[in-house]
Amino acid sequence: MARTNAKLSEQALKKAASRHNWTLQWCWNYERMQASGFAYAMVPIMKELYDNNDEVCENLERHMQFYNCHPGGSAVIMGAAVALEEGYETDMSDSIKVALMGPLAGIGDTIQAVLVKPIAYIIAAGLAADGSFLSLPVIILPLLALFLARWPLFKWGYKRSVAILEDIEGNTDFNTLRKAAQILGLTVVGGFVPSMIGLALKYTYARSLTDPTTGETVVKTVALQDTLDGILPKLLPIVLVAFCYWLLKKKVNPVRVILIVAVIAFVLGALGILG
Amino acid sequence: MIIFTALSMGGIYNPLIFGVVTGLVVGDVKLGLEVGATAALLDIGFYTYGGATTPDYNIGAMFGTVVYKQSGSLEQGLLVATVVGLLISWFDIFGRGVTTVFQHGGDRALANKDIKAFERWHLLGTMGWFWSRFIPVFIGMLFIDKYQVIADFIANYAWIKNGLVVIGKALPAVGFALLLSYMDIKHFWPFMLVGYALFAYMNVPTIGLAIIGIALGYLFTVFMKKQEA
Repeated sequence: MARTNAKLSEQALKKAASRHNWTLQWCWNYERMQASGFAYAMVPIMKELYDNNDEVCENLERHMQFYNCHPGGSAVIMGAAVALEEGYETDMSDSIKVALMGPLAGIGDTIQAVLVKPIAYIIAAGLAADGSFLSLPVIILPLLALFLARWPLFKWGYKRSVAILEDIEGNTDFNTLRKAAQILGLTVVGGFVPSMIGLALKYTYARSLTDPTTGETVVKTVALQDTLDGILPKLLPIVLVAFCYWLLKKKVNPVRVILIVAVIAFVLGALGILG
Repeated sequence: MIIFTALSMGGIYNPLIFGVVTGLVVGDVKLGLEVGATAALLDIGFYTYGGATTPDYNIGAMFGTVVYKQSGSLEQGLLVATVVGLLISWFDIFGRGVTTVFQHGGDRALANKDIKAFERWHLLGTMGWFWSRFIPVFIGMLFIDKYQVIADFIANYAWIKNGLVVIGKALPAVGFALLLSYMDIKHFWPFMLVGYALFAYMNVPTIGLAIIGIALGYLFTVFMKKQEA
């Protein structure tokens, strides 16, 4: 029998949050993705809510359904689902997972893949290329912060319970944040592409000129790269990135793009055109 | 093993750290820093959306650093890093596949009302992940000494060296292009021009670009909100 009016202990909440935040993806698989991770995190909760072992297992089985989300976003869902389990609203608990895993995966993935990871990697790579060990905290701390944020996110979900649906679905702030992230990202990438890709034309051509004062013929070599720089500095890296972008937009597999670029680069390098 | 897996979650699992740690092991941290920096750029656009498999440039950076030490050539290190990164992605698919077995074990445990067994099955899921990295790294490290043969061979041919140099310089372009491919260039392209002009004509460093980007992002969103109101 379910214990009515059970109030989850602080300890059970802490255990559930830690289990979720550390091990959600440990049994990630193609069939039901994070299902087992979510159920595993629910164990301490179910043990407090139900007296007998069979009931605990039956309720855990509910959480073995397909589930996949960004781990940070998922912490919010976990919190809300725990709050609903506490009120024995099992149907709501199951459906809130399905309702929120898409939107929260979108938010979490954007923050991580478009904002935090590229900016941290770019700045750290720039520092590391100069031989600075400051690059290490620059690359670790932002990612660590994303990881640690899972605990407050869990708490937020738990506190708001079902109201979290409105918080997330009716929220326009996130859209503005997403736009601001894109602006920041594009500004940095715009400057970083020419700075980190040191491709240049090695090709030179010789021109014979007649010196007007002496009448002698002088051979002059002109480096094409200097001419290019005069038109637009760092033109080659931009053309290359644009080419890769075009291939990717044509739905060419990224691995294939890597191979195409490697082959073209090798040939042009071996011929001495690029360097 | 579990400690290793756990450590990897707090931001440690990235090419720069793997490069630097390997650098420490082979006795030259600077090499690891250099390989790790470029491997991080190669990795920049890759992201495991919905559990997609991506090249593992972390393990790549590890091998790249060893090869850099052996051959004295950063380009060869980067090329090996790329090849290894791509190879590991096959092991990754295998690792993510076998965990299905552990999940079914968990299903059975719950059906038998055995919570302890269920918990064990879940934690054992790390095995797939661990072995999918451990096996290729172990095999690779056994044979990495043999790379010397390739390095000696390349050393004789200037044109191969030139080709490799250009590959090393060109490959980060793919990472950047990937990143751009999921950004909204259609609406925000002018900001790329701003970044480009700041770097190419005024030599503003990356942190400077980031600060300007934050300012622009903030101004833009405040402006948008005013328009809506």
